[in-house]
Amino acid sequence: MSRNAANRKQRRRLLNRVLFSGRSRFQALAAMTSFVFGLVLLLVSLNLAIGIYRATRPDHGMHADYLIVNKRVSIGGMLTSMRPTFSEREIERLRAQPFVVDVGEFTTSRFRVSLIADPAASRPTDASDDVSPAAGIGMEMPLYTDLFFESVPNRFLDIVPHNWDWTPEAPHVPIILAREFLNLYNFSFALAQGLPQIPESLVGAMAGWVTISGPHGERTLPARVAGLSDRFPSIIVPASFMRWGHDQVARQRPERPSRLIVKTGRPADSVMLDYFSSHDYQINSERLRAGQFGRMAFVALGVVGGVGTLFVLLAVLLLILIYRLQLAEAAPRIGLLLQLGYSPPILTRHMLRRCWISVSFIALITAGVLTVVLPAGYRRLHDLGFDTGQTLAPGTLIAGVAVLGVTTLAHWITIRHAITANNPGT
Amino acid sequence: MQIELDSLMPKPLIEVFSWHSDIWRRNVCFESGKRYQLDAPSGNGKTSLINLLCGLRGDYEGDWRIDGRSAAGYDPIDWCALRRRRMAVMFQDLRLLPELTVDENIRLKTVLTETALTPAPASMLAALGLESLNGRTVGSLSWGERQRVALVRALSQPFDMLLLDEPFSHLDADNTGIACELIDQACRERGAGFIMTSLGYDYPLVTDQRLKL
Repeated sequence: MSRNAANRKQRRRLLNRVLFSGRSRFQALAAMTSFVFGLVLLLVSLNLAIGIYRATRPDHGMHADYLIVNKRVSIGGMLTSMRPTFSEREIERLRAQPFVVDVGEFTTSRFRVSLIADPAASRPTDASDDVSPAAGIGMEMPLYTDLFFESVPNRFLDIVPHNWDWTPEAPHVPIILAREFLNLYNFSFALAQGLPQIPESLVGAMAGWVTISGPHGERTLPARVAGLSDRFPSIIVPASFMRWGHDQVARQRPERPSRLIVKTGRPADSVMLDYFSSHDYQINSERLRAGQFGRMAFVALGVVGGVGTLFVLLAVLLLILIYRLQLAEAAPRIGLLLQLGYSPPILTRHMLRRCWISVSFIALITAGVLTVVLPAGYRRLHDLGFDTGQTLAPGTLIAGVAVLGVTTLAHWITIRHAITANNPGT
Repeated sequence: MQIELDSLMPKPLIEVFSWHSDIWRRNVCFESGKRYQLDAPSGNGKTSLINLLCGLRGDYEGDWRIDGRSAAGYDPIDWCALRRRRMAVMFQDLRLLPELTVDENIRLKTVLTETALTPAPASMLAALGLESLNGRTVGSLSWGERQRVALVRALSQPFDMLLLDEPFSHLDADNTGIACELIDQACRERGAGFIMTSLGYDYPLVTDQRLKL
């Protein structure tokens, strides 16, 4: 250590003895402890709230941002055979709502659809390794069923298979199946009927023949499951195939849509929920549960964060009051140091340095507590179905730095005041 | 360093001022190479003058200048720098920190000025018989002992002008003699002068000018 550095160190030690002779040390420690406590409450709730906000925000994998909306089926409607479809105006009005980002219409087939699961269908069109087990499934499971098709605009799909742009020349009709359907088959139907379960990796090889029929004839085409969707509890085909089918066999326009898909920026918005219930629209509430829980969690975290903020405010106040008390106790000695030639900048630097050490100490302890508390919070959120990831949000960091910054600033003002007040000759 | 007083008068003295003075309301010049003793009975403003000259009070009429620059133009930072580098003060009421030890009181000054000093503070303490008291808190010392500590602290820094406010009031003849020697030595080493107030006694210290306050 150079002579100067040793000198500075000695000077700091002496100044600490002169200025902070330890009478208020315990009080300061208590205030710092409550400060850390409040800061942890504030930052944890803030960070978790940011995580939940992100998890329930649009474009996140939770799909709470896509809602499927339909009208309630009423007895009156059943008697009059009026279908609960959405008119052009209703859709426009919905589209104009502030919580709506985009609205898409489900187009439902007006032709009959039947499917024969047939291994032969896959052979000429696909040479991949997936073929033979799929063929095996087809043979073991000769299946004939009546179906329905729906289509939605491509921009609403959660997966777009590579051969989704269907033309009449395409080797087969791609179909997107709700993952729920596969689960229903695997865990209920297949078990009950003693049929083999189908792993998701082999779903792409499920193939068969689709027959569509209407007043104007009948067409049979090879078809293949192109993917599984979490978003649609339905059987989705390309819009181009839907149009073609109507032209070929139904020769009439599809009906007004009876289901809509709504992309929303605020899945937990109460205004949105009120809007739907006042118009007697139903939404797939399962999807909304996360959003609703998110809202509750926001409120809970808001309360915790509020308590934390209050704690921080009181603790900062307490810290400053204790600091003022310390400096008031030291006032005659501050005056004496100034008389000896310790200039205001020297004293300010010294006291700020001390304050910095305290603040860094608080920051370090807070960070240490956060590394323990936050992962536990994340685990809890994960158990509740929130995929928030385990990151410290920049917002949390900024809030922490801001609180510490304001605390330092308040100390600085107190220091300046104490030094100016004790300046001799003024 | 040149200190010029220009019709200076501390405000508290205005009402009572009625005696002949070589300082108050006169034009006087103190130069850093020279030694001044200012004699006056108590109540004539000795301490006021010392505090005024080191910037600890600003309540005066008239003007005074340091090296041609009006003292009114000095801000607290300037005064601190002046007291740290160019002007050493020994206060009449000593202004030591009673809870610190003798050694710490001296070091509080030396760690601030960061200058090698002659005579060295330790040797001055030894000369004044304070060596064995080094680790004692100043609060536990007699006034005479404290006065010697205050003198050593004042001499433990660089200066052009030393301000001494009745520095020997509680010292016996032997210690006064040693203190005078140390003052003389420190001033010679620095090429500095002093302004010393006293009640009018003679000390074994050569002065260039004695003035009546």
